[in-house]
Amino acid sequence: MSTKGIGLAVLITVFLSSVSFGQKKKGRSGNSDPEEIIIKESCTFKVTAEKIKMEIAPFRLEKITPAKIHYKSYTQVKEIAIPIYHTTQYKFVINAEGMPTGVEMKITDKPHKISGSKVLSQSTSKTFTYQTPSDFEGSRIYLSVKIPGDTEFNNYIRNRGCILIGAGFEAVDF
Amino acid sequence: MNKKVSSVLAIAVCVFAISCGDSKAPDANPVEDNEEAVVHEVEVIEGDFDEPEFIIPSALQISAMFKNSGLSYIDGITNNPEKVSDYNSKFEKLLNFGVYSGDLFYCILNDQSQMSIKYLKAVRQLADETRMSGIFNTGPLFERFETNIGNKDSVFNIMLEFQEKTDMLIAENNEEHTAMVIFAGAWIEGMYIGLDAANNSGNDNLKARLAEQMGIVENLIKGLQFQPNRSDETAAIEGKYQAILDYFLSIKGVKGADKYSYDETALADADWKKLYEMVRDLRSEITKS
Repeated sequence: MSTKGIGLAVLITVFLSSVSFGQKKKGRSGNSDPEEIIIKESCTFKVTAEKIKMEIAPFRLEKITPAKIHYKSYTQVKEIAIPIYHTTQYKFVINAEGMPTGVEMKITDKPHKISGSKVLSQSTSKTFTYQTPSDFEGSRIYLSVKIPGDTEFNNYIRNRGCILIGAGFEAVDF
Repeated sequence: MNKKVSSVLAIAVCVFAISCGDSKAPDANPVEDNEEAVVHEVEVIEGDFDEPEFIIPSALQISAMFKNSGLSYIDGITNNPEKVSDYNSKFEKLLNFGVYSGDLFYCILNDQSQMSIKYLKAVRQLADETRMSGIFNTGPLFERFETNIGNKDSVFNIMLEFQEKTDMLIAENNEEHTAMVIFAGAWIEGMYIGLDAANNSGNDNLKARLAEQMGIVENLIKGLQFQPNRSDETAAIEGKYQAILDYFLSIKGVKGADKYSYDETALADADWKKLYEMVRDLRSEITKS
């Protein structure tokens, strides 16, 4: 085969590959694919929020923040930064009952990827609490959550859940 | 890794894999932190960020901290609740929802009962106008507030409920981006009141708390940048928050032990004055006052 012929063959191959790839994406996002994506939502905001309110005592509840989780086919680590102010001590109640699987959770003083980040607390339970020590000097803590890959992901199922982070503070004079 | 770069890389590797006829099954349990893991995803991933998400503090917490640091009530400093109908776009309304929330907590913490009711009315009106009427429609929150106005503990609990309903509504409607606009309004109002007092009183404790607040401006700006349907108006406001942060970080010796802690003693009187003026001007623009 001549050089021109080889070049043409390569171009055609790349073109066909691209067309095939494009059709697959179009089919999945459009309605032409018989397989429809099913979303399974496991988040239980209201019920879990009530449990957090009970657990935060004797601290004053300040806020309950939901972190929404969308499962992927692979294991992912979601990290959440929480600002800390030095006028008070904090208690956090972290609840993963709205997750369809178990998760590993860690609280660190720096983002988990940064070398030298110190683990302040960790748990594989569905709920755990953390209180900042009185001598805590950082301006943030970081909650990282390791979420396992979803075996249903490749069957057009999208599992979703949430982790609720309840924050309470003490010694605030009203 | 930059989101766009990772997306391009994902597409490039997918095309490459298909072209080469790679039939090898992807790793059953790769980890997202690993850059190689990202390229196994066929669809372009738009929502993955290397930076952590950020929990915004409540306006109540900021008001309480300032109060505990010696911030007393200054009559007439808050935004006039009668101006609630002056705000037109949804962005303006959300910003002032935050401003009035800050004023509401400031008045509650300083026992200004009648003003608190006026601010809650203003917040309710803006909630109605920004499709957040569910905060007040799911129970007699406003009526309970009026009935219990003399009981600080009850009022505090009602305000927690208000905060919770707002957060829940935002989460249920996937409106997380609006939370940052509301917070941007509450933050500027809190800083305006605090800086005004700090400049006039020289309260060092309050100055420390004000400097501490600068640690969240970077996240606040990112939140504003994440808004859908961004306009020139949103970009201009965002630029002014950035200018405040840039000025603060340019002060020699202000950077503290870690990225988000600062040494407030590095600020000279002129710096506090300049910071106050920048915050005041932005607050005037937001509140149209």
